[in-house]
Amino acid sequence: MDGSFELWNIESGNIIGSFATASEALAVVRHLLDAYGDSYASELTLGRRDGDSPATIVGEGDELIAMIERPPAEAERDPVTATRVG
Amino acid sequence: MGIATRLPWGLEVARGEEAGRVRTGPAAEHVAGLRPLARNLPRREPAATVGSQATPLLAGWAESAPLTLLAGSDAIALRYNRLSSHQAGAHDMLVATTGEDAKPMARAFYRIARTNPPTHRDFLSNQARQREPRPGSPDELRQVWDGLSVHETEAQSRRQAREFPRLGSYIAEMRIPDQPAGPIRWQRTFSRNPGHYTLWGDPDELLAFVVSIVPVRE
Repeated sequence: MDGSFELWNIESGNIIGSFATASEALAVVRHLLDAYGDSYASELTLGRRDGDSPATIVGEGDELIAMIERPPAEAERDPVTATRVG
Repeated sequence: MGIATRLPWGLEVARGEEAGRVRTGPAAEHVAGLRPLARNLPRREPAATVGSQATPLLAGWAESAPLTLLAGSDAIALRYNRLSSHQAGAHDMLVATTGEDAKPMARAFYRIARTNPPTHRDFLSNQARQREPRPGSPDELRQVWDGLSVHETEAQSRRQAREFPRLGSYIAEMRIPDQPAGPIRWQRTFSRNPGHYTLWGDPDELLAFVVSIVPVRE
């Protein structure tokens, strides 16, 4: 299945990137938070797109901070569950 | 709707029943006192208000903000018609028409917006929001950091807005003159996102090309 992870800035309404894995997307989230501070997470939403199926939200805001603090492999294996953390 | 747009072509037009001609050219010349009459009329469909064999592209009431015409060929004619007194407002009306040889000159894109009418804020890139890319940023991020996410069709934008509800509750249709050296450029980006394009241009220029806006949930 041709899945991907999309990272959006929902405040600006612009996509930031599309990634093959959650690990890659979370690495960019980490980069952005390092650059602009943790409060920047409130502007971010990470979604997962699988083929023609509707995209689902993997995490947003503080959920993303929790996700980058977890081992990336864990987040990638079970990204949807990660949205329930916190 | 009161969306302030503008006419990016030079004009020669006379009031009354006289028709004028639109010249293509780099200079923007605003037509004061117009606002969109309705959503852009379908091309090659006669307007009921004009007894012309030409094809209207867009019509506007006189009295409010400038109006964007959706084509830029020199085959376009402008016509002012005085509406009859029983019609609302009885203002002068401007109708843009094309002849048989007119070419489509505008490209449609759809942008998710937060407000109706959309504002300058709805057309800001990440960079324009005072977020400069930092050293070490991935190339893919840098390529679109100063651009704007749009889709090729309204349906694609609607789907995106439903998938990511916090993006906004409205979809703004933009008609951008297809000019190679124009102020707006675009590129198909993020191929796994159906119909996603990135636009680059000044936020106010982009806002000026909005011709209609609809709610995500109709």
